[in-house]
Amino acid sequence: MSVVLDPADDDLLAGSLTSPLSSIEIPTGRPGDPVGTDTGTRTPDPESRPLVLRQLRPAPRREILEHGYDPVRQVATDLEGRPLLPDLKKDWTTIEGTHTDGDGGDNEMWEWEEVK
Amino acid sequence: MTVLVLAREFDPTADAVVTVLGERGVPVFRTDLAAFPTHLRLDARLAGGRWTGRLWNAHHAVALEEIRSIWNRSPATYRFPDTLTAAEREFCYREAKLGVGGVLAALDVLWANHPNRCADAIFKPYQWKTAADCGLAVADTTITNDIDTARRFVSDTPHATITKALGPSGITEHDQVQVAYTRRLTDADLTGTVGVAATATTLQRFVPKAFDVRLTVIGQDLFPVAIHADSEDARVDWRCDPAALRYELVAVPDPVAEAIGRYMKRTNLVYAGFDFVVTPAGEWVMLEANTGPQIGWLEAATGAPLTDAMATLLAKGTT
Repeated sequence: MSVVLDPADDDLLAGSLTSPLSSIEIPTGRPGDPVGTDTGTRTPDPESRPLVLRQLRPAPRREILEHGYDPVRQVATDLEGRPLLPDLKKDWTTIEGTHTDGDGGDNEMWEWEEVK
Repeated sequence: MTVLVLAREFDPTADAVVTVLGERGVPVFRTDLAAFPTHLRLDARLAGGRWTGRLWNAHHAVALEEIRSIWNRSPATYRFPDTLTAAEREFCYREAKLGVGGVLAALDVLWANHPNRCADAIFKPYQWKTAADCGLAVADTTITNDIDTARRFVSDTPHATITKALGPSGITEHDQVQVAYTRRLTDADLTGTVGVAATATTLQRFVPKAFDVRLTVIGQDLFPVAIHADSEDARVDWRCDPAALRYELVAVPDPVAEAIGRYMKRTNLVYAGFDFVVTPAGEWVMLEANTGPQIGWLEAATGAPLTDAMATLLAKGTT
């Protein structure tokens, strides 16, 4: 069983720029209008496009197991309440997003990873 | 003494570390900040110049004075009910951040890593200068919105220059989420004037590469993992083609290890993920240092005991 996480979740684009703990916060735009999100239909002008955005690729979009959380053992579980960890060996497991490893900051990789 | 783990509920790496801590008999209080204020309660009292009190939920509690370390493991942010107006939620978010974050920041404990140190280190220009000061080799770089400056930097060898994002490189356009990986410049990139001028554009010399290294620092332990890329794109940016990668543990040269130690001390970080290019001549060139690196994928690929090392660091706490 699996679910597809929506890579357009709010905090994917925010990442480390909006840490809920740091005293410093780089604004990412008004609520509902985050920087980096354009739901319009305007086609980008290739000449004015920032260089780094000129060869975009679709963000990784993976499926993860449907899961629960055991608040007593404090670990994720399957839907029967068994800890997920033993079943995740060598599986792609992690989370979501466009905020990939190497982006810098404190929340730099909501990319998939393997857990032994 | 308890380890406070701030992590999302679905986070296998956090699960692994929490499990190891449990096996060692180390008390853990794990929570996501999204649980505040609905499911996570705070009772913090300042008396005699010292913060005491507790954090608790329906199943666990931790006294503030019993916290030995805090793992800042990319928690989600505070979540407020829709019954509040947008303005009220914004106010509540601000107060939660300053209240919860402020009390935690005031505790004299080991942070892995402290949020403000992470915030400092998000700036790659700061990372590169600090790394160079500490004795690490870094690539020549220009950050500019001036086309003439860009052209001078690139000179007549655009294929020896890369451009990269300084921060999160994902954008959503037309309802599609896309990522901008590090890439080499093409001749077409500098024919116009507008692209470079659109923002602060980062240009960097492409470093000839034998292989990449992700070197994870956890406390005093170094875990240098070579990343060998079997596709042309992955040789420029290994993130873009995970299927084309092979991993192996390698030795880190002593001067590099010593420089990393100086970097960690200067930035007040206790764990980090350094990305290096190792040139065909064997020089290690630092690309960046991430303050919240993932570790599970490297452990799975190499068997290196990163989970144990993180558990040890957190269990030790402030000494």
